[in-house]
Amino acid sequence: MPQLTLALISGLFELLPSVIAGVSGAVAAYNHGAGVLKTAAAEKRDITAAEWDDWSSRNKAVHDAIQGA
Amino acid sequence: MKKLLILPLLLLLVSACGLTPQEKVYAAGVGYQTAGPPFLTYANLPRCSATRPQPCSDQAVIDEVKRADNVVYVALEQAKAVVVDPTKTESVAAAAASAVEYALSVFTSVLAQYNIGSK
Repeated sequence: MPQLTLALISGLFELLPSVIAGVSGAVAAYNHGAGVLKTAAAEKRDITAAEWDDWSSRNKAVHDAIQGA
Repeated sequence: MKKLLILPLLLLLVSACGLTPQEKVYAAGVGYQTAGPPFLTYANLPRCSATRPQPCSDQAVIDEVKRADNVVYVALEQAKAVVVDPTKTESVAAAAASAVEYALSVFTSVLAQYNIGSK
C-alpha cells in the first residue's frame, strides 16, 4: 500500500475523535475497523480470515438491529 | 452538519486513494457499521403520531431505511465472498468493491435525506 495512503488512513484514524461526537457505537466501530486496516497496511498483509469473520459478525449485528427496529 | 455520516463518506474517500478491492470492501463494511448506530438512536424514539410531539420516529422512514439496509447488507456479504476468493480476477474483485461502495452510498443517502445521524 502506498505510503501516502497509509498516511491518509493514519491521519483519518487520528482525526476521528475530533470529528465525531456522540453515538459511542459508531465511534467504536470506526476505531476498530480503521485500526484493522491500518495494522494490515503496516504489516503489508491481507486482511486475515479471523478479521473478516469479525467484520461479518459486526455487520450482522448491525443488520439484525436495524431490521428489528 | 451530518457529522456522523461523515464517517462512511471518509471511508469511501479513503477507498479512492489506492486501496485494494479487499480493503475497499472492508472499509465499506466499517462505514456500514458506523452508519447503523445513529439510525438505531432514531428508531428507538417513540413513533410519530398526531398527538406525539417531536422528537419522534416516522415508521415510513424506518421502513425505507430497512429496505436500503437489506440491499447494502447483502452487497457487503456478496462482495466479501468475491474479494477473498483467490480464483476471482482483479477486475471482478474491483467490480464487487465498486458495487458495495455504491450500495453503501445509497444507504447513507437515505439516512441523510431524513437527517438521521445529524447533530
